[in-house]
Amino acid sequence: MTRIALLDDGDAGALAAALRAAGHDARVVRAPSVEVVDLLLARRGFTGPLSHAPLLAARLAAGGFDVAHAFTAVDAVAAQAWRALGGGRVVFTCRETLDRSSLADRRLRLWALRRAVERSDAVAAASEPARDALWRWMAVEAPVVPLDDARAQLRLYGI
Amino acid sequence: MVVPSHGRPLRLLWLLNALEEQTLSGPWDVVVVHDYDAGFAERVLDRHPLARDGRLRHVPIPPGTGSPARQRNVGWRAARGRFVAFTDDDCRPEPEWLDRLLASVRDPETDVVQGATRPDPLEVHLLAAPHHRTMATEPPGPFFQTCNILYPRALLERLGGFDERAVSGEDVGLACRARAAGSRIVGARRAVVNHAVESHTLPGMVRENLKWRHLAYLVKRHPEVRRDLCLRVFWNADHLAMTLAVAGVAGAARDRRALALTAPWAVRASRRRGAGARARATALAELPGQSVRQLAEVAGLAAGSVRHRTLLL
Repeated sequence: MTRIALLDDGDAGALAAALRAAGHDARVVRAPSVEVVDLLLARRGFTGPLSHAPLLAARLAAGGFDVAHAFTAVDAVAAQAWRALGGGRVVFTCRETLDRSSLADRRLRLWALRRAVERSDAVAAASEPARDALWRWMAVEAPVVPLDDARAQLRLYGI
Repeated sequence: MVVPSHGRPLRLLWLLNALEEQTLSGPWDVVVVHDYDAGFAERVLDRHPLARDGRLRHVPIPPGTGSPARQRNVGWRAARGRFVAFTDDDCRPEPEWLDRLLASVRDPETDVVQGATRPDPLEVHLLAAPHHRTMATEPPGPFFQTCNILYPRALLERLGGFDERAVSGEDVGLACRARAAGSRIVGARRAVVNHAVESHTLPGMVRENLKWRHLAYLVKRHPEVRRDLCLRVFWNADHLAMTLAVAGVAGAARDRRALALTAPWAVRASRRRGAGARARATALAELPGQSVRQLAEVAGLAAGSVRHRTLLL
């Protein structure tokens, strides 16, 4: 049984249930944002939300997970911090369809995107438009792995 | 069109994607001179839609052997067109860019056309970073940056291209030689290139700006550039204010009244972010970092002045 953390920014609940049905310990992990901090950072031109990332990495470290599956670039960077502290495999699924206007529009945005796609152990796209945009703007060839396909996700996790 | 590229493969890809939207109906192509590995070139450049349309060619050079001047020379010599437009890999030309540059040419043998460059509107939030790099020019002049300029190929051949001994400012040097040879430099304000806005750490910014120390070479070779300097010696008014401030602090040990020399710098620094209490507070918070950056710039230029035996601060 593999312990899987789904770093959710919305709707990973169904995937967690499917992974549990497949016999794994899959849990949705969230960390609260500190709104005032994110507001101040946004005013200084930073991408957001960012303030939840340290706590997210700490929760991963406390959870004893084998795999962390992120769906946003910032969460992937937090998971990579967890990996650097002795954590396990980091998987990044790009759900958004990237476009030129959002690639480098904020401080740390491009940095986080690059780290997410270049330093995660596996990278996937959640849809064909997301895959095409990853190639067009980040030169990353990623397979499309639908979020409702638990078996395909397990292959991404190396299971 | 010629693009030198080094250390910015993603930005290069974004530039090529933007060039797909050029509205120029006549034939044009782009030559990229780069030092990326063969894997990147095969995977990204050879497969790019512009390459499939026959519009993109790339010339690899061994890593570490390039310079902007050398790469641009390799590029225009490999180009096939009668006109050569230059831009950089951290730029995003507007779709009508080439059309408007060419429309401004009156004498196809001698006219140099400079377009307008502005911080990329898609990245303006990064201007909030204390240390950022971008470019804004309102043509024509004074420095004729190669992020947005068009030369007749015949003129480049007559002039011998860029001076490869120049580490920086090679674009200004070429424009000086073009003017001396009788060329007219035409401003094309509607030929717009959007320049990346990149935020840096303070050490990164200091490193980035170290290249400007070689500008003394440019000033030595082309003394007419001094007309566009502050008091013919200072690269800009900030450098003049910083130099006065350093003199004031140094002189304060003998006479405290020398500290008055720091006033212009203090006033400029406090207004850097504009008027209003919040802007002033931001400027104040950024003051230490800005001081270090400017001091490093002036020190770098001073070192360059010694090396090239001409004063530029």
